[in-house]
Amino acid sequence: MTGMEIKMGTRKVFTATAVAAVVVTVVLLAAVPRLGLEGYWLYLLTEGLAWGLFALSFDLLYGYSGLLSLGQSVFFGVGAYGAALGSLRLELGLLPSLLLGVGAALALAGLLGPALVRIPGHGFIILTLVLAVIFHLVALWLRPLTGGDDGLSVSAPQLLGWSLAEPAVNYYFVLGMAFLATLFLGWLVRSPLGLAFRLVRENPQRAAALGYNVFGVRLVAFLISGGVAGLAGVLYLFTSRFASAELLHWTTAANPLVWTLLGGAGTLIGPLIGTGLLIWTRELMSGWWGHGYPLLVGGLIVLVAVFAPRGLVGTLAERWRWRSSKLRS
Amino acid sequence: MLYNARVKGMGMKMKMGMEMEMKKLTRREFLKALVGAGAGLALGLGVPLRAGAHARAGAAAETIRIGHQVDLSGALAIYGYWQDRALRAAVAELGEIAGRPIELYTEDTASSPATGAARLRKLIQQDRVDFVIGSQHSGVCKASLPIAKELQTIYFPLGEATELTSKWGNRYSFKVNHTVRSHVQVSYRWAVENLGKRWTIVVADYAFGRSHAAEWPPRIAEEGGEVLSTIAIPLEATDFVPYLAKIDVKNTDVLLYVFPGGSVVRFIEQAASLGILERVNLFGVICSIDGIDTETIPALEGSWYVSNHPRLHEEVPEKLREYDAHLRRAVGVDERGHELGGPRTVTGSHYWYAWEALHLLKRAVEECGWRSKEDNPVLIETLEGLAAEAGYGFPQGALFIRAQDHQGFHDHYIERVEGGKLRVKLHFPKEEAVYPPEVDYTKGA
Amino acid sequence: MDLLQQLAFQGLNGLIWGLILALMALGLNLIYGVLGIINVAHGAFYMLGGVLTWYLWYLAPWGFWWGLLLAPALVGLLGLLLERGVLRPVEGRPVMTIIVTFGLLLLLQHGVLLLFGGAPRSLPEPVRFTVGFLGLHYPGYRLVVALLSVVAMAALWLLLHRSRLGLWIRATAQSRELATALGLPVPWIYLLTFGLGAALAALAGALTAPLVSVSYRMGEEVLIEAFIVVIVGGLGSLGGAALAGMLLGVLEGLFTVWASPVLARVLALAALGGALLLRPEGLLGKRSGSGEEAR
Repeated sequence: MTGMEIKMGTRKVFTATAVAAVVVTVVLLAAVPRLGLEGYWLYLLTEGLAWGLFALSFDLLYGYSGLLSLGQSVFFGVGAYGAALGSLRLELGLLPSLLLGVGAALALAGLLGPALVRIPGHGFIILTLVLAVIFHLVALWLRPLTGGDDGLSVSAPQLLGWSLAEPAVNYYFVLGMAFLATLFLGWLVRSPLGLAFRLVRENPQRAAALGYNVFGVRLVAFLISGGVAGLAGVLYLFTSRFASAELLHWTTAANPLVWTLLGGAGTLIGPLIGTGLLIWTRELMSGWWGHGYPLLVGGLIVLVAVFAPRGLVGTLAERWRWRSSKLRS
Repeated sequence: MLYNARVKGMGMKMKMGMEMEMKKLTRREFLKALVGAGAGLALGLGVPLRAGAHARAGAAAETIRIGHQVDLSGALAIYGYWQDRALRAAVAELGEIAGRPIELYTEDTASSPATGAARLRKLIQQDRVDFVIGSQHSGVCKASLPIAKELQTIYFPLGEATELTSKWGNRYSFKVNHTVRSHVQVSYRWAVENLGKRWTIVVADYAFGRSHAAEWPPRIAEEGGEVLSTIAIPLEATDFVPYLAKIDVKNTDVLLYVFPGGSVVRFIEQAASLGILERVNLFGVICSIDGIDTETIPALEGSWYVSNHPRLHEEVPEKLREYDAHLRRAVGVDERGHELGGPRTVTGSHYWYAWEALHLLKRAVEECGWRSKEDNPVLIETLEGLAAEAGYGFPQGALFIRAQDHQGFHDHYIERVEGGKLRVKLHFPKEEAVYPPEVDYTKGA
Repeated sequence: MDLLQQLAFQGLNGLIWGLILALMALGLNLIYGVLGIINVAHGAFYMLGGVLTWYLWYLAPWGFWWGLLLAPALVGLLGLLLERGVLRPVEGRPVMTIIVTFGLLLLLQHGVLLLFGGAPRSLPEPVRFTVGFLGLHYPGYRLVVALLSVVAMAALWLLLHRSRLGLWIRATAQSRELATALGLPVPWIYLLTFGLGAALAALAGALTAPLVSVSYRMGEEVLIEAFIVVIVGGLGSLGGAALAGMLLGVLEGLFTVWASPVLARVLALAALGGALLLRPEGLLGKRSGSGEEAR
């Protein structure tokens, strides 16, 4: 995409455009509570940031590495439960619980990754689905630990003397963490490793011929994706202060797929926009026609998949590229 | 991808050329990015900002807003359907509280704790309701109670798990309806004496069922009985045969089953087809049969239930009949408990909860002169210990809310399915349902 | 019940569910093998089979039996319409088909929610009798379900191996290019195969409607298990799908003797997952990795 090209071997990793866009966005977002946004919409935005990060973790695996996983909810849920149990049972503070949650998700990804990533094509997709089904059932079965479907409620943790029960504090914390994680992912996809992800996605045989360890590259993608999903889960937990077995269900894993598809896979803004748009739509609709939302989403998915499979951002970017290539000639 | 090869393959000159082109575009793009990001955010956030302002303006107006967090779909949909109808009927009839018109906001929990808790937030923060009448699902209530406390909104959970007004409760929650412990307490002696000493307990595997699984065994043991096994079945289970096969039919005298929702019909019929029901006494709490048409299930004949209010009008105690008739008319139910103009059966022992909650709330608000959420402390004190006599607002009978744990107590019954119909066999006054409180919310929290 | 009785009882129950799963998996496999579509909406077809049967039972005497005939026919018709109208553009790209059919699943489920309502409903078993063996009473209708499933599978086999249409279907599954070159009406074959797959799912739903509660979400669990069964059996292998289906059902049943049904399901799924890890192409799978990618 023009303006966002990667330069291999030069020091400038981000172009001026990207930096500017990011700075503007972050400043605006940081100002949000000051602008008078409060109560429910602030809460939604906070939770939305966590879900958006979840969508990013999915896109890293799917859009960039070509692995469609329907089981990311497992890492999300394990992250959330790790933090919840750390806070409830071990009485850990904010950061230790966060590390516990992310660590648990990473450990699980590390355990399962080597076996899963080896399986080609549709086997992988289904195995991740099996994963979600199995872990959801396990979460139900381990009721004394997880609370089953009734779940666990945690109280708001403290961060440097401020309590996350304050909506603005909660918001800034989640915004900060999500921003750092997004920065990391942004750097990652433009790094040599990120290029390797895409090469392996496009043409695994060619990548292997060029000397890449296809299995290793995919495994790293799986690990990072799992870790970020776990972080998203932790952020969700601190915001909603509730974790239940439902978080691990495969329908929770299907959400980032929908958000990413509609926003645009293989971009970083795409999933974020998709998440934001859909959550916003859902809330708008839930008051006057709650059941209309899944119908709308179903219809959108069908339309987008058939007519605009690159999603909102992807299609716009393609138009842009087409137009600016016309300009140049 | 391809551009990779292009950059590598071309000479320095081309690379330089491309860089220069990019710098030219960069300024234009920078401006576009700026405008784009700003516009996007403004649009995205502008609507909620305006909506928030509008809602705030509305809240200052004359109406009183009641939120209903109700299970309109999912496992407990039959209960939600009738709570919704009863509350709407109550709102239609009362019209106002302290001279201010009532506005009702309804959100569906989908019988899921995660969804229900999120919807509660929406009701309180977005719709700006003053009070919430909550879900029938004990799991939803459990997840919602901390939120009600956080957002300082008075909440009426309709779930029945004992812990809702002990371990999990707080000062903001009030329960007009009984807990599991009350049900167990009034009936266990009679049950062990009349139905048998060896029990198998089958419960739905969530907060409500687990509450039963905890409350019955010690009391049964007290009476010299024993619980052979407890089987927990997920609320969403569809095929019950694998669970039923685990029942020790030979040695069981009493099969206690606690399983609310439409799927229970499957449970009964499968138990019957396995020959289990011929050999045990089937005993349940009314939640296991409410909303189900007993006349169409022969296998239910002879089963016993501890209930809260007779389904048949003719079984209602004389002094309550007038009020019961009024309730039925308002909600649209006939004397046999069938929906007027529809196929459903009423949840006779449950649907009065929302009706009475609203009437109780109205009384408390008018008694203490509550004007806004700032007056909540006074309202809480008024509700603590509030008692009501039988009347149009309280067709189930007299009721009182205990001060310490905000728990309500009312009469109970033992009913039996005879000739396809639920007949009242015993009537327990509310005093027998009272047990020592485990917490004291009047001391704060 | 003693151990032998428990094993027989739970094993038989598991086998019956396994047959239902096999029916579902066969439909899924046909659709994948011929059209290259991974049909997530299969669960919705199953659900529609159950819901339509409920309506027929509610409205007419002998309604259930009408349901067994009409529900698959109507859902098959719906399948034809969907294939022609919506799915043509994405056929041959399995990942896209997952996404599109997921959208269809949402539409169909929530469409039914609007009309049918959110509460689960029951219909009684159409025949009530018990069969005694080993001192057990086994519900007779379940045996009827098993019988009808086997009949349906046999009919499918006959169709595929003894009829011209079946030959065409198998040829198209082997190679679309070759089939077109031979002058076969490939678009029609696609159409009919999808309809057939949908009808099989609806039949499974109609058969199980008296055993479970009918609701707009009733297809979800079966769908996931059917997918697992298809992959474990080997994509494209009908025999493998049937085998894996019965294996999952029986394993789950047997594990239930010692564990809670929830845990039994976990163990059975883990066992199948393990099988998949050991043999990624499936139990009776024939396709190699590149063959899959080519689709």
